[in-house]
Amino acid sequence: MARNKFSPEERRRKFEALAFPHLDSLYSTALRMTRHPLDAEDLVQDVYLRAYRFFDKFEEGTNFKAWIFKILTNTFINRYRKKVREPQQTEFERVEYFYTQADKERDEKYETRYDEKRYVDLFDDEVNAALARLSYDFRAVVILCDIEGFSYKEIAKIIKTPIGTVMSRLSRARQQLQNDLRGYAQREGLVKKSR
Amino acid sequence: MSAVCKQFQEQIAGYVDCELGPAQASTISRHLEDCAGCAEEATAQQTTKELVRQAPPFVTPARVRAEIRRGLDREMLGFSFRNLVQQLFVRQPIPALAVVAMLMALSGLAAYFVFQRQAQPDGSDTHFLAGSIEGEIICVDCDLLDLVDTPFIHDATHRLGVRCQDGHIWSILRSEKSQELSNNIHRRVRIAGHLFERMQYVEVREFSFI
Repeated sequence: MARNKFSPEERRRKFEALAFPHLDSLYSTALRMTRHPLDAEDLVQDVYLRAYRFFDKFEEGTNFKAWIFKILTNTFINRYRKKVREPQQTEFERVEYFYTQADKERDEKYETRYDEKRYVDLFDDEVNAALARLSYDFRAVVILCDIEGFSYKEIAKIIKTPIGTVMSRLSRARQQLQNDLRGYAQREGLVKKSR
Repeated sequence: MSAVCKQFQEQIAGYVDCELGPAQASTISRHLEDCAGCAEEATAQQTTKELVRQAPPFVTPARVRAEIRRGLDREMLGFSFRNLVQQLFVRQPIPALAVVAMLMALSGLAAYFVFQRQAQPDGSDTHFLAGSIEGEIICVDCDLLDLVDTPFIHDATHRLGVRCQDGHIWSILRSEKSQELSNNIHRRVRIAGHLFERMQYVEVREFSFI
């Protein structure tokens, strides 16, 4: 039986050695995605259990962090966004059009689940607060790329989206953040005041 | 805004993240030398990326790690049990199946007994069962008085009863139906009706002589 080549204890040891170093990354990402500490805790626990259950499907030697982040985004979407459907991704332009129209409405609808004030209080630093104000699709790519350091190829796999879409989402998401954080960046002396 | 500027809007991130192919990257590099607007955009995007990269991380509460460990413990128990059962079926299919069959038979038997017990009288005097008995019709009073050698004369106030094979005597409750039995003393009969077990009384609904 190839599937059960490890004893349960070995399996557990191997899993913990691979998975626990990413706990802080997963928790931070879960918190930035759910924008609520209790939801984030539930989500992370769920992710670890699922990852453990499907650990046999993880191919040794491949990127474990990307693998478990894929589980994180899948779980998050299944759990918190079950009701909203992803658009059919056929043509690049069309997808982008869909994004700016339907998805924006969809995200706004989803966002109403959350009290605006709640995550502004939660994220007392301006950058995290600005991230929390992005729509989910934008937020996800920025977190995965700029905070977690995944390549476009990895992000494309994690969120099941073409690389071109990852790139254009990132471009727009950062522009939105840039506008949102202009005052902050000026105060910090990161950009010139005259613009 | 030129076509290149427009295209650049989609690709700024790729340029900043060095994710463009060499051809695309050099096209954009050349464009940025000529276009101050786009060059500024690229710098701003780079700055934003830096800002986000330095977003303060969050500390995982200690209970989360503990909770995960507990979850994994539970999962492991479930896993090793499944594993064991799986192994059993693979290595010893016939005994394993036999055990399953036996367990099923046992649980069936257990269910049967539980059901039986529920059908038993619950101990209260008013408990009765629908059922039937078989035996000889007797006059209870005459029978018992005879047994203790007390002189007696049979009369209509005497109560009828049924002496069963097992020695039990069931007194027959007086009713319209039971009146029909009074002229048939010493005949064997099968009576269907309500049995008041603790009182050993029977209420006659149907009867037939055997």
